[in-house]
Amino acid sequence: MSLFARSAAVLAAAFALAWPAAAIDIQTVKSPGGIEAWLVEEHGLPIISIEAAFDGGGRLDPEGKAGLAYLVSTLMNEGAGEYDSTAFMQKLQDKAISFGGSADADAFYLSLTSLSANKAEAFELMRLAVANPRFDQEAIDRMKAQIFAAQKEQDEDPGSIAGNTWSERAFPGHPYGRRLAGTADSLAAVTREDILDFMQSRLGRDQLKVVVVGDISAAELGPLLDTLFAAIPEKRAAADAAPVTMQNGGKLDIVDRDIPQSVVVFGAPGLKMTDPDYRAAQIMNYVMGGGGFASRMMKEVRVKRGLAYGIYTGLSGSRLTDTLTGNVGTDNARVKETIDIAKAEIVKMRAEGITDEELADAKAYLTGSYVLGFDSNAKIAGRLLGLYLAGFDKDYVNRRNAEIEAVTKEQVLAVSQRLLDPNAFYWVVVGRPQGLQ
Amino acid sequence: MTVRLSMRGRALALAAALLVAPAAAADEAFKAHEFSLANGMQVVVIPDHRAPVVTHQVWFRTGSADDPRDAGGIAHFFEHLMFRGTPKYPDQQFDAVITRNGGQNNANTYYDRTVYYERIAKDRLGLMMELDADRMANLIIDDNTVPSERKVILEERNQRTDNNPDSLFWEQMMAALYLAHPYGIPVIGWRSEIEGLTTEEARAFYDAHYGPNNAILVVAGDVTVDEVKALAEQHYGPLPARTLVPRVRPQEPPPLAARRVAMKDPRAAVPTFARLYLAPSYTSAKDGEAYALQVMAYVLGGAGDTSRLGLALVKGSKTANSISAWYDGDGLDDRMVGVYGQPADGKSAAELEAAVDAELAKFLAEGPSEEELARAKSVLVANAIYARDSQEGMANYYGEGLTYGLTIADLDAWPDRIQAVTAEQVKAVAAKYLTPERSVTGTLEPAAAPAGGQP
Repeated sequence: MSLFARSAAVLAAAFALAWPAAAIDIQTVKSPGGIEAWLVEEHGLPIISIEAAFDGGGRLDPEGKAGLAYLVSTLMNEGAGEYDSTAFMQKLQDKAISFGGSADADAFYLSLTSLSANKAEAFELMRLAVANPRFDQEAIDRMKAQIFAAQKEQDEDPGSIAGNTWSERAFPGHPYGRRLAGTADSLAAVTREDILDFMQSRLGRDQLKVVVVGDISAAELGPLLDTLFAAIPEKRAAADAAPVTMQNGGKLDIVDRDIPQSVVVFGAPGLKMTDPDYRAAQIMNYVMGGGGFASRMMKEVRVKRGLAYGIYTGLSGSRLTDTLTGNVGTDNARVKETIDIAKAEIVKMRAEGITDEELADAKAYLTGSYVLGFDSNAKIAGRLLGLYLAGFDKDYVNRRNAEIEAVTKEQVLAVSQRLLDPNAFYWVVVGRPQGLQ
Repeated sequence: MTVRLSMRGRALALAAALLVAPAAAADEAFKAHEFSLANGMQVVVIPDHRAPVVTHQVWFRTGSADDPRDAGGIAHFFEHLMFRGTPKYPDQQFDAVITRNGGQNNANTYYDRTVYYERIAKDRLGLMMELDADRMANLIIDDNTVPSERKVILEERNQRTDNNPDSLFWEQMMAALYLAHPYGIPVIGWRSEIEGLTTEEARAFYDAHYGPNNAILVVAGDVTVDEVKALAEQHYGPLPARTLVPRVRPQEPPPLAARRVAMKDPRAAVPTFARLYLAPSYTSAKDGEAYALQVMAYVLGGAGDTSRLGLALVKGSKTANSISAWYDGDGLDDRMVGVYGQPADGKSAAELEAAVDAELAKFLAEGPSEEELARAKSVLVANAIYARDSQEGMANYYGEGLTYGLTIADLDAWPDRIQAVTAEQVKAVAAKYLTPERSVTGTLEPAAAPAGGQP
């Protein structure tokens, strides 16, 4: 029990010293052709992971063709060179190689994981997919059909309805208001020519970030980067979308659905991960609604009153805007009570900030748990790629805990006053809520 | 505090394994090492020194299939109560102590086991053991906590199940597959049962199942076997063994009739076809049949559009929009093989069903090709190597397998046993288990609301 008897602040300081300075070694590798990658060598397991991201993604989709980036991402393992979809997939399976694309509103991703023993085949299949993807009409039609079906399911799923409605009305007319996978109409409008154009105009080596983790050396990785990405244009041709600020603050919309539990999504403008106030905002969010059972909202809504299975808030950064959002699901009869509690916590945080004890607890958790996100190759690759894309340098992981430690109560109050204007929040409720207008 | 209800996505749950190595050294990394305490608590240690963190788990050999017949849902309900407090750590301080130490924690309940876990810096391992040992012996169960937790669980059920026609459909499928066995009752329980759960039932469940002699401690991460042994003896060693209630569950009668579930829900966006076959689990199977079932399911539908059903029905005849098959062998008693798909636009669930049956008939007649067999083994065996990357995943693999009565030797041998499966064995298990009388066929279709509306 000696550990628990110590103050949280002392524990947190111990963490800051212990981690992660000595534990994670990120190398910067530059290829002969000038492509940069972050490399974490880990030779304890016979596994290599390559995570590549091109800034851009769905926000660059042409007007009327939303869903293009997402569709292309699903096609990246659907055939290349002489191998059609089936042959390509079977080549991957024969060597137990995992390769595919994905996309979000801000980036287009390629991901490869292979056993060291099969790396030659893995690298060659990835190179081929980048250099010479087939985009056969059969595969395009099949992926479109699967996306259509998933979209229809989303159209009936209360959580998806709430999230999509919130984004659409918070960012009207902007790519961030569109659905990543598009609509039936916009996806139908995408042609094979659009897909070929995507590879030429929406990707560029100037937008490429690569993180490699596992059983590979810097000497081997350098030339490999040139081989893998040679076919990508040097610069991205497509122009970026415009920065945008969230709309409809102060409003509450109800989407009628005959379901027993209403789903509530709410949000306000946030701040950039690189903003000087971001660390203070992280602590504020942890105390208000981000900390699970440690958060004020969870204690009030779930623990004290049993109103919901959970209530959560979080800071989320996109390239062209930033938000502070939250969600909760609660019985139709008790939605108003739940929303009132959440609003009261927002107002209280803005007025009073946090206590010394809450500050210490938040720092102890946020610094102490950071290492938990770096205990596997897959997690390291994912975390580092996110930081790389957000514009951080590779030494950030070693500074981050000290930055959290330095935050004061006054800074938390100041950022609360900056962000938590009750009239900045836009609320969407999906269900049959009682007592709400 | 989650409950695992998903049937899909569990096909590869047991596919995480270590490659067998002869005579692992005492502290060899990525290997499972095992010992027991005098009170009967089993302990497994899986060293992984890449980061200075540990995963600490306490698994109990009890789950929703051990619920008394008049208290369905009590195992999961009770799992929630385990967080409410003890005299030493009252008022939900349990979570607060862990987060103040930089840790993350949760628990989940499944049919045959319940697990409580924390992930935290390695020098806090003793504290985690102190907390879990305390609540194993000294939990407060009273009327101050039970009613509000009951409301939380009803909202959990709303969120996971009642708001989601797919989840409601799976409940109906499982209820149809199991006539007698409690696998037919949802882990979280039926709403009417949750509403009636009492403090007394929770206390009785605790007394009947929560002893060290019914638990398995799993520690994975930056530790040695000796360190764990010393800490476990200090914290869990003093707990007295409990008199356990025998796990007597009604078993399925021999299946005699193909069953159907036809469900309509206005919230179902696209038609769904599903088929379940009653099949042995890794624990109940004999003669290596479980491994053959695992390979069979991968060949049929483990690789999406490129598996046998996908090539024939998605890429070939275009009857299906998507299709998959899986083997769920995770449990003490007989589990299942499943097929799940969506008809292509313009096709009906009935057309997809006929097409699946035609493909299955072909598979029963010819078995897998050598190429299909080799490809399935390649992926399944490699998954066992990939699985070593996740400290938590490794802990789950051993903890879950041991609660189902498998041994570490069984779990270590998984890749070798998969590798040894022959085409004849796959053909034999297909013929034995993919039979109409063992099956439930289900369709979920968009349609008008049934009388009575939503629950």
